Amino acid sequence: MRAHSVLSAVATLTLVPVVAAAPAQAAPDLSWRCGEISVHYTFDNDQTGGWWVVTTSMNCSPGNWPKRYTNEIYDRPFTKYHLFEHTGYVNRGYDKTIIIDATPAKANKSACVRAGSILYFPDNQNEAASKDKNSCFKTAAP
Amino acid sequence: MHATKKTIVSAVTGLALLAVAPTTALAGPTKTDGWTFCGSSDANWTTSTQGRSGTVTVTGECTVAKANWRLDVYVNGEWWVYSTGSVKAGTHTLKVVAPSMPKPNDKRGNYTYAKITYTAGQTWKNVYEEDLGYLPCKGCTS
Repeated sequence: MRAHSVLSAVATLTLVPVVAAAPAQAAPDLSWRCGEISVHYTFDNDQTGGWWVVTTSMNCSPGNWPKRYTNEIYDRPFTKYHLFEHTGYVNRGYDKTIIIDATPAKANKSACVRAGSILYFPDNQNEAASKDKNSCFKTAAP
Repeated sequence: MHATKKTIVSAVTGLALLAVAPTTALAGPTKTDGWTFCGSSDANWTTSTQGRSGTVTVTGECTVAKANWRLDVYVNGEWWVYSTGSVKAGTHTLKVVAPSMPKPNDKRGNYTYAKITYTAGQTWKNVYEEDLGYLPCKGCTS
């Protein structure tokens, strides 16, 4: 079953013009991957208080294969999700920015980002590649 | 800026992972993180030398009978110290000592984060990142 899906994927790739299918890096056409997931968090504040701007970015290629992304951002110790997103099958990349209020230093709270990307073969929707990232940071003002 | 530092760190991590996963996709999906068997719950930095040296302590929890762990600490985007070991089911504490710390390149201190890699057997891997923020370093000169 696995061999069949690989052969199908190879056949699909060879039919596509090289220019359109070439990934950014100079790799052979037989490459599909999910890129490194990037999680950025930046502190900002004004007279009303402080907050964290949290951005999650991920993508997989080739661009026209279906992907699914999951992005769960929650506090620790856990009381709630700041974001709980599980996309359906999409062809685009994923970028999401949310704001989290800063927490009092005494509370010793953190926020955690648990993000994942899955790339599927276009013909049979078996998994082709995936990436995961778990990243936590303290939400007190730095 | 905080965001810039994280970009550098992400790029370093990305390069390392690309080097070890060339055409793994051809053999089938290698979603080694599909099963969460261990997790980190907190990370802290302690120092008795005003930041010139110190200890990174991570608390975590595992649901498997035995897991191996590796704790890597990155300072200002550079891989700095690491330690390894194994743990049983339940909560545990991981430590790594940094006998020296560099001179900060930011007035806030040395930007530090820990990466914890748990492995169970040959196949399964859970990776967590814990941000320790900017660690002041009084008297760090080199």
